[in-house]
Parts: sequence; structure tokens; C-alpha cells
Amino acid sequence: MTAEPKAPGASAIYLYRQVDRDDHAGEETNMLAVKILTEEGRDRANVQIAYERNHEGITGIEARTIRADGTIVKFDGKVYDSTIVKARGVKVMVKTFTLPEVQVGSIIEYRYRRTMSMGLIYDSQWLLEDDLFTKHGVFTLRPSESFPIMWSWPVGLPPGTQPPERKTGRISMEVHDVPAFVTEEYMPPESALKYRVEFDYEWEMPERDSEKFWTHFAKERFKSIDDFIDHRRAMEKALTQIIDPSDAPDVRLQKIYYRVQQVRNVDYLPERSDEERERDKINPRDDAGDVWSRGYGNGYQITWLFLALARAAGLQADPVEVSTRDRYFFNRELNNASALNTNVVRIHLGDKDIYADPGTPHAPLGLLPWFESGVAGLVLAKTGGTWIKTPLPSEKESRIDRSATFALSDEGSLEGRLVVTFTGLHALTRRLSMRNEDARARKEELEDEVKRYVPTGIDVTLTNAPDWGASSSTLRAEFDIRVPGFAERAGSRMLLPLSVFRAEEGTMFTHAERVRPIYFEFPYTHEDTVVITLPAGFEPTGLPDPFTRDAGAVHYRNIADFHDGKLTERRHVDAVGYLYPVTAYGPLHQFFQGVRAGDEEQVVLTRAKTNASH
Amino acid sequence: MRRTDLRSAIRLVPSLLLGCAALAGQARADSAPQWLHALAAAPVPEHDDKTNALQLIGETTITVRADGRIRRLERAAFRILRPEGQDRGRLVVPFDDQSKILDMHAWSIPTSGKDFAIKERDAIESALPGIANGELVSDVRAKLLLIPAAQPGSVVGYEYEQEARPYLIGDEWGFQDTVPVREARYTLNLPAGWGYRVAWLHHAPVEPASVSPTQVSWVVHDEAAVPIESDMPPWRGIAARMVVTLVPPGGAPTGLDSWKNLGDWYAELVRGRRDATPEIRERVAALTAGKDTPLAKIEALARYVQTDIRYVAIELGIGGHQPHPAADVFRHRYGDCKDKVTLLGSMLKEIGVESYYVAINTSRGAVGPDSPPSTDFDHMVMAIQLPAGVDATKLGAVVQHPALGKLLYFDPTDAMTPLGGLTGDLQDNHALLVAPGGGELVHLPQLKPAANTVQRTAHVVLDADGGLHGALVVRSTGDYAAMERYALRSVERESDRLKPIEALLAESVPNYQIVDSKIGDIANNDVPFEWNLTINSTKYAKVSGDLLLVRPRIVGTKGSGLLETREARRQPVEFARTRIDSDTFEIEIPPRYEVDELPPPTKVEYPFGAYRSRTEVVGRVLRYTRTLEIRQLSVPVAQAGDLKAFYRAIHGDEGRMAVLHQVAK
Repeated sequence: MTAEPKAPGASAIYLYRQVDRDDHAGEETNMLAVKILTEEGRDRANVQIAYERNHEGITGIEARTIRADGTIVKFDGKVYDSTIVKARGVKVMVKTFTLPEVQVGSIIEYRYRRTMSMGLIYDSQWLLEDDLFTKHGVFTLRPSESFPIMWSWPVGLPPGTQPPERKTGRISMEVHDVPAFVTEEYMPPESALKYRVEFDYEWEMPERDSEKFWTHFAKERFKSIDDFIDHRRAMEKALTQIIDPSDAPDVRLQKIYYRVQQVRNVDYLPERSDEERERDKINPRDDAGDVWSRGYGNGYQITWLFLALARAAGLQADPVEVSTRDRYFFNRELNNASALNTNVVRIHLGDKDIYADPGTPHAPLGLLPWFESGVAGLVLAKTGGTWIKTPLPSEKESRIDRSATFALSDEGSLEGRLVVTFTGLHALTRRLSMRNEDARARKEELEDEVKRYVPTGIDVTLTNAPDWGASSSTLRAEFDIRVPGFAERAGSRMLLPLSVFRAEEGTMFTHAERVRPIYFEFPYTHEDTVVITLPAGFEPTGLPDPFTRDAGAVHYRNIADFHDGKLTERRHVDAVGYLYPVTAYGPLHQFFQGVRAGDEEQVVLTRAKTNASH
Repeated sequence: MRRTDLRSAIRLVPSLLLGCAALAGQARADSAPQWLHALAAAPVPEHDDKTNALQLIGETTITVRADGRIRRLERAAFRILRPEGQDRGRLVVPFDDQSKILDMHAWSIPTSGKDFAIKERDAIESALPGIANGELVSDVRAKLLLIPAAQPGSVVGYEYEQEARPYLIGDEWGFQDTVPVREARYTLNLPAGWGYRVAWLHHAPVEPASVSPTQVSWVVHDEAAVPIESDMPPWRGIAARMVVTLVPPGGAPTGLDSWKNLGDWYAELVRGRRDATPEIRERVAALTAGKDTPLAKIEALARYVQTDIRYVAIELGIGGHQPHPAADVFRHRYGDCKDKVTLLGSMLKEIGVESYYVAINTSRGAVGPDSPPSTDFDHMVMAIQLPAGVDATKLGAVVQHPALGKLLYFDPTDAMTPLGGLTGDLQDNHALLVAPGGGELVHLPQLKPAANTVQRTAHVVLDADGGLHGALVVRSTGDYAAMERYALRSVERESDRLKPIEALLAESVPNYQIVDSKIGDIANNDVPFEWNLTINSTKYAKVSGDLLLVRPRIVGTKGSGLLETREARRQPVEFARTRIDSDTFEIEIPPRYEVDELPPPTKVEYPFGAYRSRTEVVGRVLRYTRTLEIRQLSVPVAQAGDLKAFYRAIHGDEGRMAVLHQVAK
């Protein structure tokens, strides 16, 4: 056999994979059988087993090659033990060996035992989906008897797989025909897709009832937050420097928010060494008064400082713990408290709820960074918690507006001025990514972005000083721009591509097939208005019909107009959602192909007929 | 705001690499030494706003022991000017079993606050073999110090001491950097009776600043930065350095005193390694059975070593230079480049063919015709001495050697390039030939552009709505065929095989659809590689009133934005290979349409390359033909403007449209 019908094209597959873990004895035995299907698959004969030397050991390595004719070559070579990383308190080693006589059609088999330091118990997981197709996998765990254990399969189980069973002190399960894990552009985070079973030890018997679990969690967490913020005198003193007693509530809110955001946020500084961190020490026992008085804190503390000040100012503010969607997709049924990894504050003002995160620099009041938007959050109170969903800015709120005025020369070059306005999450993500860069790097970044808009070499110069330091909802950049050879002379005619800014969407989703769901960070709108003054004496022979595409979740239109010697293009693309099932890929693929076709429409210019009289 | 994950203490999930950097930065709160403070206090030299950092001092002190050990003391200081200069706060010192680090210290003087000081115990030791590339085991490691507060405005400095017992005694001083260097010094301490010679590369010779019987030193000032640019020659091939040849008492050879002696040293290292075993002889007999010419036998053996011996590098100690015995390589069916050369050399000898080791650097230009002897090589290929009477006319990589006759250069590690071919990185390159009479620096040939080709032909039918359907064939040879095969052999899913061709279509053909596809022979390197496709596209041509606008160039972009940069080019442009690409696209004109305008022909010609295109009407067919030829591997910086114009001309041609107009019924 040199092919597996269920994994067409695979270079190798796991015929068999077994993981037997015993947390009582502190060891794990791994057995693997890999069938080599192509020449490239022979690299699977190189085996590396990493381990953390201070807490683990690797013993009992045995390996063999089974040739295609069934004869066996026992591995009797050297196992190399090398250091990958050694630093204070950490020593990551790797056992390396390579099997002999591996050819297409061979099976390589190896097993080893991972031993763990006695006295320590580790959480663990069964990775059911790996980088190779798995024909048959067997997983067992004998849990420690010292601590209660919980297990879950956060993204489900491979089709046809029975859930893990606990029998006679062992948890076990088998899988069959699990495809290799595939990564693709614009896909959700891996942990939201990868089949696995996670095992978590707890200090005490875990609460299985989800409602009770989160109520208990909310009460406990509220108590610790209350300890942090409950420093009314310090907060009132701080407020005297921030607000005026006569300020209306919305003014108070704004003043407090933007002042707190100015507290030095150590999470957003350039990469620092431990020694530098030591000088800006963050103490687990810090409270809101400490953060305010010393003038720095981490983002988590700064957000709770805001909560403390808002409450002290008489605003109705609640702590909210949320789960970001850049690492995984939260499922509260899993009772995983650590998945609530972020904090925001909910302010009830008038008849509105405003969600605020001053621990994110440059985020305007009411705008959360994309990974905190549209996610589950638990509003914490003394009596328990209430689930909410944070707001997701609509496509109209995260925009790139490009407004350009060009003159087209007789030779076909465009020259003029471009104003790009980034709004909402588009502005915030750019400010965050460039927060530690200097003026030159920021200028180059913006100019390079404009170059990416246009599918040809252009000359572009940023002419204004964008306000990078603000917490504004917009970021405005102005450019002088020249596009040589944009239009082509064709005899007496000139052929002018309809769209100047067309490079981005044209390169998306070019492949016909897709395995994964499609994931954008946030809904968005791109809106262009391009006005081109034609060379004297030229006018269009006609204009392309308005071009529209509507795939439900994404929309495109491109409309040309001509008046007073000026050709105007109005181009619009929006995506109203951010997560689409793989079944939506076909229409999306067609949509972006259509965008490309629309952008490539041409306007034919000819010399206008003159009413000459002699 | 994101919060640190507060998992309970019993959940000690091993983090492997994560978190190591944080652990390694523990520092002592000592202050920086006086010499660093003095440099920090000096006025900042003039610089422009794109200079990331300035090297204030670079100081190398080499002390040679009578037993051949070499002690190296390195000291440097940088003023960081921009966030991009923060990498100057990462001190990486490689070491292996032949060289140990005796001491490391680093400091920073920030713009405000106290100094920082760290030392060797704060370092991260790291070794990350590239298992994916078959680099399985090596004893080369590195210690990394992350210098605190490496921020704009700070001055960072370090010093470290290292002792080595090199296999070959010599040294070099690379005093230029990617940032400007204000001052650099090199001091050589020699035992009594030892001598030295120096050679300056890419820099005018500098007289020693001081000389005594056992010590000599050099100083350079205000060395310009050698910035990194895309497609530039290898940095070592252009940056200034001084190569030091050491002469022991009595002039005993060190190996690095001449190419001849370096070859002798290597010949001694491989002595006996190519001895054949009965099993090797048996396999040679089996592989060559029925082959009736020497060339056919050579091809059979070469193919065997290329494909059946898996690439695996295990390089420990002298193993970085010395191959494993052919018997071991054959028994395990794996080995690295020099192991493969060894086994193939052993097998060739069994059919009476001699062959020689050829050490080469795959970054062309790193070793040049004027380079002094060095081990500056990263790959091993071989020269096969062709027996008299072998017809070499179809073998590109053959040179006539004055003593050895016809030599065929061959890379047994490259499983995609057949005998007679040579990948672009090896062509027009200099290498050490380990010949019977000693080593010599040889020049590998530059193959003709026709050795690497991409030919695209299409015959399609255009309809009145702008739709297009028909056949497209993409045929490649040489490096291009190898790259196609490599990409296809590396995919893990059948459905991914079409992705390269989908990418080609997507960049040029809107609304494309592949109706049918046939992929050529992936396994047989001796034939060109082909894609045969049937494609559809709606709206390929644009309708404008009674006009139909059609781009005759259907697929393929050969222009480049390489030189569309803010700054003027400072280094030559290196091409990976010479090549000839040619396209012939035939588009059947829809009924009731006639050609109104055709794009003008394009013809641009420079010493480094030529581009010609032409659109014509042949009956009812719009026929577009073009040829791109790249003749030189390197374009001097003085011709960068020509190259930019060349690319712009190509880009302009690729976008041009033909205009068809509708005729009355």
C-alpha cells in the first residue's frame, strides 16, 4: 500500500497511535506506527521527542523499520540527547534519532516512555487530530487519585467517535480515520478547530452544574475585584484631579476614561527584560490606589482602576470578565474559568450600556479591541454573574474610506491626492500595531499600505502628520500619489481601468476548495470615491454598467459616472459578519472573483468631437 | 485588558520554549563600565533618520597560543537610534565542542534611570536543529543575552571571551556592519616565532596602527553601513573584512595558507571513507546491469544516490567537515551532502569512474575568485571525471580541466535536478575542488539561459460577452521544472495539487474555472514538467458599447516591483538563474467582431536581458507572443535604473489591451 484512499495525496499516515498516561505513576507511554507513502514522507523517520529536563524524562525508546516486503530492521543506532533551550530554571532537551532503511512503503514504529517528577501532577490533553491522518488511535489515562479531574472535548469529537469512558480507574477512547489537521488563510484560531480531549485537575470536587459553577466563580471573582477597587478615599482624592463636581455623568465618564487610559500601561511597552520589569514591579496585592499613586499598571489593573473611579464618581459601573476570540471560542458549558481571560467595564448611562476597556491604549470610549468584541462576558456581582455579549461594531463602524482626486495625463499617468480615513477597529488596530514605532516607520507603514492598494508600482508620499497618539475613532492620512502608466494609449483611444484601488480583494480566496470556516477579525466597509480629471479633449465612449455582487454576507458595487470632464468611481465593499461556515466558501470564492472582474472594468476614452467652424 | 492566565499551581503544564526568555533576563544591578559610559557621553555622530543604530566601537583581540588554541575577546557598543535598532540588544554567541565561551557581560545605559548589567548566567542557551530540513543533530549551539532597555536613546555594550581549538588555524575580522561603524580595532597577539599574512576583501588595505614582535593591531574609522536589500549578493560577498593567515614557526602548513593545502587537509580527512563494501559492489552491479555505456551507468548510480539515500545531517565535532564512511551511508540509506558524495564516489569507482569532492557556498559570491583560502562553504557537490569517449554534448555542467579532463559537476543531494543540470545557486560560483594534486579554487560553469525555461501556450475561444474557454499548457525545464515538482511532491492533500496553477490563474484571469487538468510526470526529472489545462473565464474581456477589450497576455506576470523602492539601490541585483520564458497565446475572435486596435510591440534590450512581445492577427486569431531572456546572473548597481525600466516596460506590456469592434450583421 502506498496510498490511503481516505487521505489522498498524504506523504505518510499514522496507522496506529496510542497514548497511555498514568498520572498515578507519573508516566506516559507513546506508541506510533507511521506508514510512508511518498519520498517526502520519509522525513518522518527523523524523530524528535522534546521534554523538560527538570520535570520529565524520556526512557525506553524502541524503534524499528518494517520494509515494504515485511522484513524488519531493528533500530540499533544512537539516540542523541541535546539541549534546545537552557535558561534559569528551565532546560528543554530533545531526544533525537533517525530510523534506517526507510523507503516508500516502509512502516516505522517507535515507542517511548515519558516520566514525570513525582509529587507533581500535570493537566494534559489527547490531541486527536494531528498533522497526519490517523487510521486508528487509542488513548487512555489513569488519573491521579489525589485531585478531582474534569475532562472535556471543547470542539467536539471526530465523526463517529464515542466519548471517553471511565472504567476501572481508567479513562479511554479510540478514534478511527481522523483527517490530518489543515491550516488555511482566514481561518479561526486552531484551538477553536482542533479535536482534542482536555484533562484538568482541580483543588476540590468540580461543580458540574454550569450555572452553579459560574455563580460560584462570579462571587469569588467579584470579591477579589472588590478588594482591589474598594479604596474610596483614594479614589475620591484622585477624582478631584480628574472631574469637576458639576460635570454631567457623560462628561465625568469621558474624563475618567481618558485620564485612566493615560496611566502608563506596562503591557504595551516594547519587549522588556525581567530586569526592566522588576523596576516597574506589578504586585499581585496591588490595589486601585497603588496603581493610581505610582502612575503605572498592567492593562488588567488599569481597567479595574477605571471601575473604581467610575463608581467613586457615582456612575453605575460593573466588572465584566470576557473571553477573547483570538485564541479560542468560549463555551461556558465547559466550566473553564481560565477561558475568561480579559476584563472590561460595563457602564449604564441613561438607557445605554457602554462597554469600556481603558486597559487597551488608543481605544476610544465604547470601542473594544476586535478580539474582545462580540464575545461572551460574565458581569460580576456580589450575588453571582450574568452572561452578556459584548457589542460587535457593525460593518459601518469599521471603515476604510479612500477619497482621491487625480488628473490623468496624456501619457496615461495618474497624479493627485489621496485621503485615507481609517475608522473604528481599522484605526485602533493600526494604532496598536504601530504604538512603539517611530515617525519614520509609521510613515513608511502607511505609504506601504497605499502601495498594496494599487496593483502597479506607484510613487506615494505621506503629506500630513496622522494623530497616532490619540484615542480617536478615526485616523486620517493624506498622500500625494502618482501612478505611472495607469491608462494605456491604444491608437486614438485611451483605455482606463475603472478601479485604482483594487489589489486587496482581488487576491483573496483564489482557490477553488476549502476545508475550514472563514474568519475575518471584524465586519468592515471599504468605500472609495475616486475623481479623475481626464486629459483635455478626451471623454469616455461609454461607461461600464454599474457592477454589483451580493453574497449575502458580503457586498460589492462599483459605479462610474462622468460629468464636466471628470470621471468618478464609487466603489463599495463590505462584510457584515466575521465568521462563515465552510459551506459559505463557494459563494465567497465567486464573490471575490466577481470583485476582481468588476475592478478590472475598463473605460474607453476617445478624443471628443469638436464643433469646429471655419 | 488581557490578564495573565491564573492557573492553579498544580497545573504545571510544561511550557517548553515559552517563558524561557522571561526567565533568562535576571540581571545584576551593577553599573556599566567606564569605557561604555565614556562612549555614551561622547557627542552622537551625524546620521540620517533611517539609521537604526550606530556602532560606537568594535574591538577584537585575538591571542594565539603556541599549541594552536585561539582566545578571542570581543567588545562592542551601540547607540540605538530607532525602534528597529533594538536587535542590537540581542547578543548571540555561537559555540560548539571545539569552542567554549569563557565569559560574557552586557550592559545598557538607558536615557533615564540606572544602568543595567547582565552576564553569562543570565543567558539562554539554545540549539534548534532544523529537523524539517533533515538537519538532525549538530553540536553547534548559541548563548543569547537579551540586554535590558535596548530602546532608542540607550547605549548598549557587551564583551565576551571565547577559546577555540580550531581544526584549521586562521581568523578573519569583519568590521563592517548593517549600521555605520565609528571605530573598529583588531589586535593580534602571537607566540614567539609565529608570523601572519593578511588579505583585505572589499576594502582598501590598511596599514597596522602598531606593530611589535608579538602584537599587531589595526584600526578603521567611519565605515559606512552595508544595508540589507532584496536580491542582493550574499552579505559576506560584499562587506569589508580582513582575512588573517597564521604562519606557525618554520612555515608548517595550517590548511588555510593555500587552496592546495586546504584540499590536502580535506583529502586526508576523507581518506578511506569511499572504500566499497561487498554490499555496495553488489548494488552497483545491480544498478548498472544492462547499461551499456559509461554515461548510462553513471546516470543510474547518480539517480540512486539522489533518490534512495535520504538526506539526514548528523554533524558532531569533525563531522561538520568529515563525511561518514560510504559503508555506513549505504547501510542506513541516509546521509548529508558530503555523505552522498562519498557514497556516489565509492559506487562510481566500482565502474572505473573517478570523482572528487567539491565544497561550495550556495550563496553565490560568498567565495569569489580573489577569496583567500577558507572553509566558508555550506554544501558539498562533486566533480565526476568523465571517461574518454563519453558524449557530453547534452550535459550542461561540464568543464574542461587542464589536468583531469572533462569534469561533470553534479549535486547528489538535489533529488530534482538530473545529471548534467546544475541549479542556479551553484552556477557561476567558486568552489574548492579536492583534486589528486591538492585543492584548487575552481569556477563552476554558468549554464545557458535555455537550461531554465517556462513556456506557456494557450488556444482559447473568446465569446461576445467576454467569456473565454480553451486550453492552456505550461511547460517548464531546469530549475523551474524542479520547483514545480518539489512543490507538488510536498503537498499533503490531493486537492492542494492544483493550488500553484490556481494562483497563476487567479493573478490574471478573473472568474477563472479549471474545467480539466492533467499534471505532468512528477517523478521523472529527465523530462520537462507540464500542466495541461482546460479553463473557462467569464468576463475575461470587457464589453464597452460595441467594443470588446481583450488583454492578449492571458496569464503570467514577469515584471517585478523589486526596484520600486524609496531609496536608490545600493547593491547589485542577483538573479537566481538565467532563463528564457516564452508565451504564445492565441485567442479566437468572436464572430461579428473585427480588430480595431492592437497593442504596440514591445522590445527592450539590455546586457542583462531582453524582452520582446508582439500581438498580431492571424486569420480570426489574435496571436500574442513574447519572450523574456535573462542572460546575466548579476546586474551591477549602475544598471539598476535600466533594470527598473526593463521591469516597467514588461509591466506595461502585460496590461495592454486589444480593441475589437462589432461589425454590422
